[in-house]
Amino acid sequence: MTTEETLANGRTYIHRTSAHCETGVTSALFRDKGLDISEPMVFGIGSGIFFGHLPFIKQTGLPISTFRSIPGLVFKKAAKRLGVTVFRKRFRNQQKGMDELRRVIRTGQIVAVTTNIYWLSFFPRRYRFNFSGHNFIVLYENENGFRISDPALLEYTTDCSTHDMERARFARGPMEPRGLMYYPISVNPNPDIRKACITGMLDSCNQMLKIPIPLFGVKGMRYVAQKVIKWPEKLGYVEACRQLAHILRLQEEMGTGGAGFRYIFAAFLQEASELFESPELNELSNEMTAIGDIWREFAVVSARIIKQRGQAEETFAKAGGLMLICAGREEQLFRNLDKVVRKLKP
Amino acid sequence: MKINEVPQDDVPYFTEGIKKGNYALDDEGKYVMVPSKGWVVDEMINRMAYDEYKVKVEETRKAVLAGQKSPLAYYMELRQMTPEILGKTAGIARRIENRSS
Repeated sequence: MTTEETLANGRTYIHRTSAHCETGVTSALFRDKGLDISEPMVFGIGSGIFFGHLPFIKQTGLPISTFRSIPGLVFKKAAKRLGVTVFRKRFRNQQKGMDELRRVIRTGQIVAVTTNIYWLSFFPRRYRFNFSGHNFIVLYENENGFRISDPALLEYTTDCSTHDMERARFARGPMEPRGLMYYPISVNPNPDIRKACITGMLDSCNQMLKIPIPLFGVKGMRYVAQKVIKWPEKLGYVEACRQLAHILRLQEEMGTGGAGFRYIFAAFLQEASELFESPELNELSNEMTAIGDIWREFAVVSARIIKQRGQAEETFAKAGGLMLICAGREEQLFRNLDKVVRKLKP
Repeated sequence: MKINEVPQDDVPYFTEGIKKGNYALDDEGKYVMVPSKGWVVDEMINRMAYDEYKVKVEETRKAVLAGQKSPLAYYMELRQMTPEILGKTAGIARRIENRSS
């Protein structure tokens, strides 16, 4: 349990804490190859910020609202935009998947795996639900199975047993990982970071503003907000509370965190403002921080509604109203961001 | 969110002492990574979902003991598996398990 590890080929790996699994893992993978890109930069370059309501993917029988892009896309886009070539493979055969993992880490190459957290004993008991999108890094084999680095969960490295690794990588279920493992093969020694940031930001503006389906981006936020407002009348108070709690679970806890991703994006805009020496980007960073604060307020208000069960002053109308405010301000922010980015010198 | 606004609530049964990293603003307005002991909002929402799960498992356990359901049904609830997931995991067809519950 440390932050500094020696890999199979003698190289040193430094474990750093991150706020989110995919971005933290991507940053660690790139850093291991000599490309030092922070987690917020990975998130911004990889266009991770998003909103989507997915009524067709159901977990515990309820639809999913996601506050970030599809799992895997941030890594793919960040790699592409920074000139990183990657190895990425899923396995039908569990033995082949485990053999390949072992073969690669024995060369001293660290490997990221996508797993179902239900099967990971090193997770706190109450976090262990049937959720298949968790990423962490495998460092080397040891007497307990594998030494791993989970930047989003822990402040230090830990061990994962072979049995846990097999079951978590190959668990069946919604959006099953099928043994997905990935790592960078080579990096560009002189990546065009400014161009990568510009592409990332424009892509995010597009995703938030221009998708012509009312479930995605800012439109999606308004869609869900209107549902929230009507829920008590349409579903009855108890069921309305259950649905609201589900949005909160996805927002704050299960890696699709609402406010969390807004703060990561604000941190990205702050770094970008320094990179481009742009006071406009800094202002947008401040605005995104303020929007993140409203998402947190939405969470607090919703929690009060659920806890008080009709005895509080907080109403579904207020919760939905806060979401509408977020929608309006994010719409304005991404419109402004688009204008500012188009004027930046690449 | 500023550093002093990062929640440091006491919820050890939830977090088991593990701190979560958050981005927050320091005194100079710069984003830094701040560990959080936990947030009561997260804990409450998780507890609702976890309690729902435990209640379902316990109800199924009682039904099994009363002879109303097969033991398989209990293990499916415990492992959070639907018939589809169980079928794929065990390599058998879904229709066979439906008969056992």
